[in-house]
Amino acid sequence: MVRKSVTAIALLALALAGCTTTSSEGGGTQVSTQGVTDTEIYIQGFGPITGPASWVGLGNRDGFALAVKEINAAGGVHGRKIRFEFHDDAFQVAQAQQVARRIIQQDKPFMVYAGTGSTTFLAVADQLRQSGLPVYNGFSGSEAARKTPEVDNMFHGEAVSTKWVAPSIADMVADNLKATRVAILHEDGEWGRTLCAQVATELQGKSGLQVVANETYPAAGNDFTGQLVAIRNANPQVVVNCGLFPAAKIILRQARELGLKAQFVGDAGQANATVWTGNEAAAEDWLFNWYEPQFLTDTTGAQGEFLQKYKAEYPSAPTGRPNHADNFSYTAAYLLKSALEEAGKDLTAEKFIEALAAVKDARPTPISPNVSCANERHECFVDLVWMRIQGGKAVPVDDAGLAQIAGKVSGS
Amino acid sequence: MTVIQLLVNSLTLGAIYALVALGLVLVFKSSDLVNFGAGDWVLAGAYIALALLTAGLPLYLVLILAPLGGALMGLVIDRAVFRRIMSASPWTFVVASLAVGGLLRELAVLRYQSNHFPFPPVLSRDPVEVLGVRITPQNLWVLGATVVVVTALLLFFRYTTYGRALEAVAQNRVGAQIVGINLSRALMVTWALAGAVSAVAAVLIAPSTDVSPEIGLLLVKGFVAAALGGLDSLEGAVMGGVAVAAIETFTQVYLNQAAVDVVVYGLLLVVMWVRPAGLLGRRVVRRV
Repeated sequence: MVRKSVTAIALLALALAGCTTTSSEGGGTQVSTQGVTDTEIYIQGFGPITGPASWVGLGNRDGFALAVKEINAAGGVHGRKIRFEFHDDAFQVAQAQQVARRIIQQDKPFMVYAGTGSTTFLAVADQLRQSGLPVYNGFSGSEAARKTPEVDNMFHGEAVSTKWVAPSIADMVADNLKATRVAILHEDGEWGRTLCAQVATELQGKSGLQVVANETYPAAGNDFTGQLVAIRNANPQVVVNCGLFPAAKIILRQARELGLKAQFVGDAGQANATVWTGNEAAAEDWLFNWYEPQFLTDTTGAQGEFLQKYKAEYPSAPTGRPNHADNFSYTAAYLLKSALEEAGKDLTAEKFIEALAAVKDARPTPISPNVSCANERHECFVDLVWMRIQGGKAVPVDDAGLAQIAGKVSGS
Repeated sequence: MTVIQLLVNSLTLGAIYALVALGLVLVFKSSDLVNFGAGDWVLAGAYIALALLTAGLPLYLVLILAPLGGALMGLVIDRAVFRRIMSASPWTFVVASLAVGGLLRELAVLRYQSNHFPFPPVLSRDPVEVLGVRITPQNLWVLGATVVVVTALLLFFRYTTYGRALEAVAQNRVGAQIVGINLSRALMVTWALAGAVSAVAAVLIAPSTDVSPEIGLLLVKGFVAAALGGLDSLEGAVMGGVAVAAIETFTQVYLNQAAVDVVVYGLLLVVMWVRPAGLLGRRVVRRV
């Protein structure tokens, strides 16, 4: 009886081992090929399409889907059509882990497009790495989710890491605006919390600068009076806000209502037209960083053409769409398509990863910044630019504009 | 001056919580039922207003038509759902109210997904300073409108035959029927009123929060406000709303963000212990 049980367990273990498509040995992850037929390449994505962070998943889903539709209409990749499906993680860690398990164990796509925020991506990043599937992190800028050297199968997209964003913000505050009293305000999610922690560290290295307040707010909150009054009492010249645009809009409005006159500086997570639409006076001169050659609302050039295509595909999209997730995922889909093409007709995960890791100085779409994935961190995007709101519009900040804002800061 | 400024800001936030709480109190006061989907009724009111706005109607007309749309929604829900379970157990109603709320939310998501739609303010958001305290005309509008809604409901329940009849239904359905009150009609009026008040709350709240499914989450704070003030007290809903907002704001400033919910829920438990019916409530809620 005992022998039979042992045999059964051994057989079961062998069977399970046989079902596993990947293995982790000595810290390296073995990649695996699945989800490819003669006619189809199967890509799965996930992100929050419900809940307070739904704009993240909706943008990632819709931008990617628009590109896939165009790619398939143009004949696909080496004759294969791309099939794209997107799952809702509701920006909940438990749900994201469940979705990741389902994708890895049940759906078995060729690759995974992670269109979720930092909190949830961080919760599933190791699971995805160990799966051996090619993974493209389209939207998390969390440094904690990156590893150096990166394992072979994971790449990071247009949401630039906090490792690069934090020094950029600190330099803007200390070197360009020449502020000496700075307040830090950040959401309680992974992105805002870790970004502002790194900004605070960077600011410590700036001589003559003092962080006079450090306040946290709930990412899904709709009243920030308490935090703003505490900051106002500390009398800063500049407030660095690390978070996302739904809160940023209310924060700028309430800061003005409360008479907080400090200069606000934000990150690209807040770069959305809803922040200043109908909120122009409160948002005037607001500074934020951005990742692409043109801003989302620019109706000229490549972005203007993209807007037309987007509105034709999604006619009922509200103000603020396309958001940066739409733009990032649209470019991501074309970047992945170019790597799929480069990998050749005899597509394997290894060839695809090799092709993606070799991308250098590319522009997958006309709206895209420069892309180079050929680095040990597999970070495909690192470009940052600064924007300001001027007359109710987002414009790139030039030296004259910066000098004007710096003058205001030094006089405050 | 900071303390006064915080109090003024708490009033505006408190008005938002109070408006959500009013929907709960109104139903409880006139039917002895707790609508666990009340947050989603506000959400539905917001989407009705959004639909009217995107259809090109001017804002003033939206402010008039949205409450009418809300009332119509209440009538339909009463006819389709609540009337059919009128004599079932309170537990059945709890489940039905949750299901109705969920259905309203998912219908909105089906049509609009989970996008955030900005909603225009009625008045300016440029602050004016009065005796060193800053407040915006829009916030004054929200406060004023909340006072008008509460006063109108108070007058309705205190001085109209129908208002008194609704309270009688809540206190004793059988007795109310014996004295000639038409129960079906009374409940129909209750749900129509609840729909209208939810839509009023929605158009007052939406400029601060945008129109999105998250509006429904305000139910949690609305529920705390209603329980704190007393589930059968309209004045209690307002007092509870303002109290919750003030506690949140002052805790944030003088303690920290992480302590906010601990203080709010802790205080609610203390109030429940000392006055189970809430600060201004008259009746103890029955166990269901």
